Parts: sequence; structure tokens; C-alpha cells
Amino acid sequence: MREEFVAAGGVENPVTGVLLNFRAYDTFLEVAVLVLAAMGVQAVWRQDWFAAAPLAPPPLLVALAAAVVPVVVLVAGYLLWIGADRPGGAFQAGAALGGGGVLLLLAGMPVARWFHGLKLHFALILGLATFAIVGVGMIVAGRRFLEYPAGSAKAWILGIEAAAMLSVGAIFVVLLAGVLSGRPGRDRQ
Amino acid sequence: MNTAMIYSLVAVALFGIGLFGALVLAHLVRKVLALNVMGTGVFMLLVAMAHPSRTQSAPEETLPDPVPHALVLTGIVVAVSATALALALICRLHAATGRTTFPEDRGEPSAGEECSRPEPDRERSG
Repeated sequence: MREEFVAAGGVENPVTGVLLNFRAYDTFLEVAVLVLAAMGVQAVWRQDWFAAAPLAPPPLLVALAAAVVPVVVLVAGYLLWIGADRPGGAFQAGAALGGGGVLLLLAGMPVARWFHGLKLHFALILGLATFAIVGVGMIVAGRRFLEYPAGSAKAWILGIEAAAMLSVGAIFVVLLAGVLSGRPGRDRQ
Repeated sequence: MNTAMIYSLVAVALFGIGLFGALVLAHLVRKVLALNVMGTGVFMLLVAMAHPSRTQSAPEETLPDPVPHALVLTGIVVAVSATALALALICRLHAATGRTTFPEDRGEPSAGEECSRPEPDRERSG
């Protein structure tokens, strides 16, 4: 029974198979909810990364960020790859990336200031757009929405998960640290 | 009383604790935390539904049902994003009014009551 499940899903981990293959539509809507929450936070609390240099961050925090964030990136990549066999996948990797991004923001690293405006919006929308394009592409190719070709399901899943990981990381940074570094949005008169 | 039943009872208790906190606690951040506890109770109930001891056949080698696990993963992500949005709204409320409680919890009339209060009688002074 488990072998049929794995063969039909295309990945070893049955939960990943359910999330990204059998019920990929639910995961697609989940990414949409994440984007909606990020839009909500941005509407309520404007992010202006440049204006966010209030105090000098503690040197220990800067050193910690410099040491930990590359490891976080590695861990995120590992979580993404291992999601096919073990617990892991796009959202766990995206959460790790989000934590690393928040640490960068807290430490006042200049690279955090580079990530604003159009680049931020592109990162926020990348996962949802990839999901939608793949889904509609499957319809164009004659299948149903988000129905992967039987042999290459794992490749499609990994591609969507990679885009979703980047997107979820950016969304978590906006969700968690946006309030830290922004100022309240203007009230409408 | 098998494992799944114990998990389910604990999950219902968590949900009850969270519901009590969400209704009774005044500070908005505590309300959000209580809602998170409610969500955790729901997730635990879902995982209990997936436990292999629910089916009586061959309990040792049966693996848990993956569909409720996937639902819980989705639910956790949605709960985190909703919590983040709620906290951002609380920060906005605090920046705008300086308060972190609802008017009802402070004993003042709520916004709805303010709007529906009848106009004071003006003809008497005119």
C-alpha cells in the first residue's frame, strides 16, 4: 500500500506527495494566503528598510549574524532537498530562510537594505506565480490543473518547492520584521 | 483508551483552554496567543485522527495517514501568517491610539455603541 502511494506520488515522503502532488491545489492556496498576509502587513505597516537604522546594533549580534546566516542558507537548501524523502520541504526551508533574513535585518546588515521595492515584490510573488504558471501550463498541455506528468513528478515538485522556498522566506521576513523596521502607514483623512 | 483517544482528549482540552483565554483575557497579544493555543488543539486533533491506532487492524506496522498531516502542515503555516498579521494590526492600533485592549475590556462603550447612540436633544437649548 505504501509502495503504490509512493509510486503514484513520485516522492518517497508520503506527506510531501500529498502536499505537492495529490493536494497541490491546497498548497497553492496556502501560498496565496501567505502572500495575502504579507500584503496585509505591508498595507498596515509600511516597510522602509532605508529608514530603519535607529540604533547601532550590538556588535555581538552583528558577529552572530555574520556567522549564522550562511549556515541558515545551507540548512534551508538541505531542508528543501530532503523534503522528498524525510520531513522537510518548501515551507520548512522558507521558514529557515525567513529566520536568517530577520537576523540580517536585526543586525543592520547592508544587504538587508538592498532587498526592497521591486526586488522584494518579485520575491514575494515568485512562489505563487510559479505555482500558477505550472498549473495553467498543465491545463495547456492537456492535463488537469497541477497534474504533473507521471514520470517527472519529482522534478516538477522540486522546481515548485524551490520557488516557493524563496517566496516563503521573503514573506516571513516581511511578516516578522516588517513591523520592526517600518513606520505606520498614513491614515486616510 | 488507546493513544489516539488520549491525543484527542488533550486536543479538546487545549481548544477549551484557548477559547477561554481568547474570551477572557484583555490584552490583545494574549488574545492572539490564546487563539494560537486553540489552533494547536485543532492540529493535535487532526494528528490524532491520523494515528494508526484508530484502525483496529495490524496496529504495529500501519503507518499514519498522511493526508491529515499535510492538512496540519498547511494549517500551521496559515496560523503563523494570520498571527503575524494580527500582531501587525495590534502594533498599528498601539501606534494610533496608545492602547492594547478593546474598549469593551476597559469598560468604555464600544465603537458600535458610540455610533448607534441617539443624538443629544438640540431643540432644548435653541
